[in-house]
Amino acid sequence: MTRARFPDLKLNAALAALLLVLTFASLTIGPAALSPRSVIAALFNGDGIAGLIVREIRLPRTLLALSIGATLGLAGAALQGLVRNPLAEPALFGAPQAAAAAASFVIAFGFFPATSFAVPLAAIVGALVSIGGLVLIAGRRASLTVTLLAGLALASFAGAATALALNLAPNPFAAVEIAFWLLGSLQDRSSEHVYLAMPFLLASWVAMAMNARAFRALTLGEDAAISLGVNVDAVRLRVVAGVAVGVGAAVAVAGAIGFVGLVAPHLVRRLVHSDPGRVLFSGALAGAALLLAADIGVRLVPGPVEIKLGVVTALIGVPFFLMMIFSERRALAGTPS
Amino acid sequence: MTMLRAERLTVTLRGRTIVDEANIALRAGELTALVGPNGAGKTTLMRALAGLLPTSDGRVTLKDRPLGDFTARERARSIAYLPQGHVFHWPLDVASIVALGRHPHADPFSPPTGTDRAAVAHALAAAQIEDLAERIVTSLSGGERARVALARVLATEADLLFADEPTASLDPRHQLIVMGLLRGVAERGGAVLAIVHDLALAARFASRVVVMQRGRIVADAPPGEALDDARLGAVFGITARQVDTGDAIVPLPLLPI
Repeated sequence: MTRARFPDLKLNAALAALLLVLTFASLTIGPAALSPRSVIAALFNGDGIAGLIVREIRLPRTLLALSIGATLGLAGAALQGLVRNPLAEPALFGAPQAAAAAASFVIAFGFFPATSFAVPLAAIVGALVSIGGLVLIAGRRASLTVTLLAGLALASFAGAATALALNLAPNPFAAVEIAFWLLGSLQDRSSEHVYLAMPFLLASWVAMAMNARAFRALTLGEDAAISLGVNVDAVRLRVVAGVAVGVGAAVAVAGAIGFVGLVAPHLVRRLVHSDPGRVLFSGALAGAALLLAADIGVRLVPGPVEIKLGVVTALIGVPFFLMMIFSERRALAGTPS
Repeated sequence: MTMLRAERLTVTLRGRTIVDEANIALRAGELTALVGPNGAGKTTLMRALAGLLPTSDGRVTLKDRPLGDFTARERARSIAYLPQGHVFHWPLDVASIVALGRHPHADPFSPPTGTDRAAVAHALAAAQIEDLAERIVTSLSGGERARVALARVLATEADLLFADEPTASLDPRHQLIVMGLLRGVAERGGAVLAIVHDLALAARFASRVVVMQRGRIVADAPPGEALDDARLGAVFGITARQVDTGDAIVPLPLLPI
């Protein structure tokens, strides 16, 4: 009850400051050596080669890392609020995999160019099928065991569908392009990709963020939340739609990037006193910071080929997930419902 | 004054009739105990009365208005519902949990008002858990959690309070505390309906006992009458000794029949 008007002001201000620093680092770091001063100059009056590099190459990449990271962090926090478990994460439920499968079909058969709205739309439909199917199968009780088993099945099915697209790909170029969707990267993204994804990402943020109070009430379980006046069916619909649209649009421009939705909310959860409503905003900021940091990281690793972003998030995320399972082992062995 | 009335209320789930033409009236100032064997339909009846389940037939009126005419928010201000099990999915502090009871009153874009704060403080005091306010709810003992759960429904300050097995898996002392709290709500003018398995608690604390068997209400009377030997045999399949505790005649189960 001692909740102030802006309870997490310090935490969110610190995260915002971190984002500013990372953004500047992201604009400064790259194969072309530019001084911080020339980066600022290029950003505000984009003349010459420096302007081109900063405004056309590094800025879109940075904006995408920020907005996709925020979307994935928010999507994780929203799914966790809905199923009331900190282990929920879109990638465990097959959402990015399904989105990638749908997008790769569209690309493989060359129906549309890769920057048309058909790609995010296909990816969104794919994510919608997987998350919608998952919530449908998990049902009202949302037991974690059932949810994870259903997610496993859906993720496997999406994997098989992607393999089928690879199998049927009409030429090697299409196959290589599908491989990209599976790895996830922000390399060589342009402002076109920003415009393509942004409307969907913004819509998903609204759909997910408006459930904060409902998630708090869901702490008491579904029946109690309904008795408090929460329309749980509407909440479920908004979360499913929000996660699907957000993850689908993210996958459409960046490929499958997993585990940000698991790690980001976890990092801030204690700092917001485990409040499933307050974790939404802070988790989104943390997600943006994580993904941007990871994207800076892949650029700093020396070598002939850039390591793909989705590979890095999975390499960090999966051990993290195992650690969370380890620490929650006793609770998980108890009553999952 | 009758707060809530159900007439010929029927609930059918997947082709099975769980509640069959139930008639029940909940009045201000009364603590009504709902008893019956496992699977009799007590929880389903309670959820239907609370507006959480679609009913197949019959009508429920809240203060003489059909329950279906209320918005979810209006209904939530009038009926506070405490489900079984005292579940807390996130490790929130006790004060935040109790504050959830104010959800039906809150404006999503404003911080809690003075009224909200007073209601929460009052609920914490009534449940005698003021000293636990800062504690994390998932770290508390079963008895403490039961009192937190009860404080949460008290904070709503609804006219009707429904509690599904509020004393389950509590030690005797906490059973008495919880039942005493529920009776206190009734004494202050609320209408309370509680599902209770312990017939002795029902007999001692309730002003009225409603007995359910296979979806039907088979008795609705003061405790002594509702829980007489013949009914205990017919409904629960037990023999009992009726013990005079000074304030009530309380059935003490002896043997299964």
